[in-house]
Amino acid sequence: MSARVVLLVGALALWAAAVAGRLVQLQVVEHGRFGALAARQQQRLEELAPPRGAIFDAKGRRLAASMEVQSAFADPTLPEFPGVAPFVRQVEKALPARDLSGLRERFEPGRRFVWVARQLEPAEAERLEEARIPGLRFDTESRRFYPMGSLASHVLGFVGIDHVGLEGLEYLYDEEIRGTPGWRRVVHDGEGRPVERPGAVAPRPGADLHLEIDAAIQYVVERVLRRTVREHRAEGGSAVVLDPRTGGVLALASMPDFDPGSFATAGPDQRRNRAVVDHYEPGSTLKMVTATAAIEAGLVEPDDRIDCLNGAITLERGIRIRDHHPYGLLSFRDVIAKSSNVGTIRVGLHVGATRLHERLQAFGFGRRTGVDLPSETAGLLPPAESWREPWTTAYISFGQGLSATSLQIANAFAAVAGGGTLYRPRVVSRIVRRDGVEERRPEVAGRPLEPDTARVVTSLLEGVVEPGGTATRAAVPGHRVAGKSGSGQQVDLADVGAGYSDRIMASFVGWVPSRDPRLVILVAIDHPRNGPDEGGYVAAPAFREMATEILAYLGVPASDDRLWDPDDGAEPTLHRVAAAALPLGSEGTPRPVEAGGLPEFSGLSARQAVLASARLGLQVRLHGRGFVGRQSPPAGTPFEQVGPALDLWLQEGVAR
Amino acid sequence: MRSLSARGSVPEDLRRRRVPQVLWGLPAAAVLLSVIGLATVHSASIESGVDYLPRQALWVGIGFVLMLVAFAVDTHDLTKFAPAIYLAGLVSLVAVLLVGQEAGGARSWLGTGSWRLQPSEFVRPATALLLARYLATSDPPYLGLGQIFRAGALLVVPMVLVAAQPDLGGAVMFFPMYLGMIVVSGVRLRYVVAAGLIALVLGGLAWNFVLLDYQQQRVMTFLSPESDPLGAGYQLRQSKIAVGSGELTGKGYLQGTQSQLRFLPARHTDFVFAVLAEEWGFLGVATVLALYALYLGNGFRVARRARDRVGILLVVGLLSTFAFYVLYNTAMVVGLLPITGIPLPFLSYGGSFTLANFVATGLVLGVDLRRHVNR
Repeated sequence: MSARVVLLVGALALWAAAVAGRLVQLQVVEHGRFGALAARQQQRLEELAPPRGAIFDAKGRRLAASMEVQSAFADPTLPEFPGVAPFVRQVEKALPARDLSGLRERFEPGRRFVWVARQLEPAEAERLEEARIPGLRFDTESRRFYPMGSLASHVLGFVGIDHVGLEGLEYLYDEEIRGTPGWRRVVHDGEGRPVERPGAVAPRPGADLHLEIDAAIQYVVERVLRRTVREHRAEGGSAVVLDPRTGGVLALASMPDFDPGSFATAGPDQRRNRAVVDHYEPGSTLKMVTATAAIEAGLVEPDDRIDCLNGAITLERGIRIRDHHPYGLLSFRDVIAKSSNVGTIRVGLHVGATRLHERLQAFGFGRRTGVDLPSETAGLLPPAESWREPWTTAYISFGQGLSATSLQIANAFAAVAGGGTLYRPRVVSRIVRRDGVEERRPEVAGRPLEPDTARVVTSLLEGVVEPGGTATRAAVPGHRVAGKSGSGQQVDLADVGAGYSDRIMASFVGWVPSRDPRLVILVAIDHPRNGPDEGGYVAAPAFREMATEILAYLGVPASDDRLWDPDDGAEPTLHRVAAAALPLGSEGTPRPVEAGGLPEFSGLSARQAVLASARLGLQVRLHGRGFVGRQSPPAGTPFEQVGPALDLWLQEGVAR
Repeated sequence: MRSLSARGSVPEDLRRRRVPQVLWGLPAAAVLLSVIGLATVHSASIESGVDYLPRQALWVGIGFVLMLVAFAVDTHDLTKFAPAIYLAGLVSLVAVLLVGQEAGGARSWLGTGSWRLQPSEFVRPATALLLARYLATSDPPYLGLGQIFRAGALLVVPMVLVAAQPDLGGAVMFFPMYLGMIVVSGVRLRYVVAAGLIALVLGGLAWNFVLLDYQQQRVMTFLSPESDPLGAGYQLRQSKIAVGSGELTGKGYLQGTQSQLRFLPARHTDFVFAVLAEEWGFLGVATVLALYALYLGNGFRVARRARDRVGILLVVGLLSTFAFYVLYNTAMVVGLLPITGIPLPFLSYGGSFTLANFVATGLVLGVDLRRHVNR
């Protein structure tokens, strides 16, 4: 029997050896493979989206901000998942207002992750969570908000659903403001539930952008531009406001515009930033360059008399160019003020192709301004060698035969306004990163003219806005304005061979106050179809309205006592002009509070309150009648926290 | 001096008779494996919300007492009651079928709530006792075919009752002790080889030519009720990952991600060995296997040095079952054998199973204690 026991033990020992050998194979030889398999099914690195940086205007008002919102997804492989049809039904029941078409199709076989609804409104997320739909999970995503709606939409651009900037500053500065994603090790248990485990790197928030753009100025510009485009049944328009002392872009607007918060519903026409993307033949505004070249070369003085040949000049081969009005002998000052093509051509032919081309280049035409906005175009400046004398020189001397963007033209005028210095226009003034602040300083891009020449050209351009000039409608009460109107004829790009069409780019560009410039403003209206289409008629009033409101907002005191209103012909009362220019705290204006921010409105009359809030770039909602008693938000609220509208409750008979 | 030398001259074999040498390795391995089992059951169940450690500790305590009781009982006295004990066992199996508690699709338990026993675990040693008594009457050197079949009949009755619960794994576990006992009691080896070959060929033919795909699948599912519904082979895959990723030295106690993260099903019962392999690595597993080797080595020493056929056959029957449990369970955990519900003695959580193993240990020790008693 003992031998049989040994036999039995021997058989068992063989079996045991097989198990032991297998253990060695699994645990010692092949352990790497199984270790990897364990890690793969248990762990997943999950990216943590960094908070996108905010965009602020020059006064610290929030133009773009990111908020954490919930997004819902499904994991159809979870055991509790009820199947696609019941799942979709339950989601549809919980989110009746949301378009869920296409959700069913997203459940492809084998997928473990299906987006159900992204970037939920807080109320939606709450309803979904309460519905407790099996298989539904939530993830935190960042969503972009634009608190001011469509304001500065072309400058700001927009962000796609996957948090990548697609246009405007959001696109150009994407790397800066996007931030660095973090990650988290997500450990899953055998039932697919996430388990918190240590091992995470927090995301680094993106940098904040602070702009030169002032939302209040931008608001005024957009409002006036929108109305002007509508009134003239124009195809579109653009406006630029520059600070000639620094090159800062105070406002930049294009019409039509869009709401960057729902950019997907906007067409390409609305999304195009016309002010920097569209280039057009400027027309008479560019006579400024011809004048500058001629004066700096000493070819002409403002009071020299030029024969304008009764309104028509014949170049070689019988090409005739006409003036709108026939003029005889005009001083050069009047050639510019009345925008005589013939007079300008005669001066331009004296300047000659080379010098004119050089001067245009010096003013920045034919190349990008280098503004920090995407998709800027350079415009077309034909090389001097290709100019065919005398026609090309003749055309170019009055702004035809070359193209430029609104920003290029405004920037060239800013160089004259600023006494001869051409700046690189700048939208972003400051980048606030985690590890420091980068201040963007004014950047000089050239000196296209001497200060003396600038003074002479300024006086010429003042004449444009004064009685007898083409743009008297641009005059601003309380200030002298220098500027130039233009009515550039456009070639129909669909039919270039047909030559110039009846399409006009009606523009006015100028600065104010002319001798102490604070603002360069350009308004360009594309193809006005309602009545006259000259820049002096279409664009100049828009300039005046913008300038008046912005100067009041900036608290620029009246700089000119020659008060003259071209529209009503009557002189405005000193009182009215002064009120517009009064700084805060004067009689009839809100009192500033020590903490800064929103001033105290109490005691003002309804009229005073409305004027004052307009000056602050705020809309106002009045409740009741009489004098201001209570206000919301209260005085001292920082401007960036003040919404677009101010609420004022009026009481009878409580004057300050 | 004389008296001293006289006392010192007591013959060696006589002294051994008076002070029986206990094979301490047997109870020591049982206790050590139980302690390791408690720690591993704790690690395997703590993440599930219910810690099975206290309950299993109670079973181990009761089991230890029962081991001492079984040790104290004279096997020869017990043998006289073998038919009665066997019949009582059959009655309990019938009772299970009629009034037993159902869990996991099988009606296997007697008792109320969580305090319940699995009679099949106790019917197995009872059957071993009756088989030992029957086979001991045979004439060496070889068993006749008639004896083999009659012994088989004694085995088949409880097997059928257990299979009817249905607990096929539990029923199959009656077979190793039968095989071990008839081999040791003198079956012609050619019978065993022939039977093995016939079974292999018939099984192979049936599998390939008679059973359809879905029937094969059913058989596999029936043989491995623990296999996860999420996909065939899930349990095996998770088990192999657990064992393999344990590597040489393990991930550390309570650090096994496969078990702590609930990837491994049945981790505190049939797959407790995988938890052990993951957390303690090859070194830990080798230690445990060495303890089983110590247990079985000591046990078979009892079988070899015992003088009575009943004792030898009882020990062989009990140890064959034990060895089969250990080897089948470990082989299944590492993917060498199909998965079926076979736990690991002293390590897996389970009341009746733990008690039965301690009782068996006590019986083996009892056989050894009384090997020189003259009958």
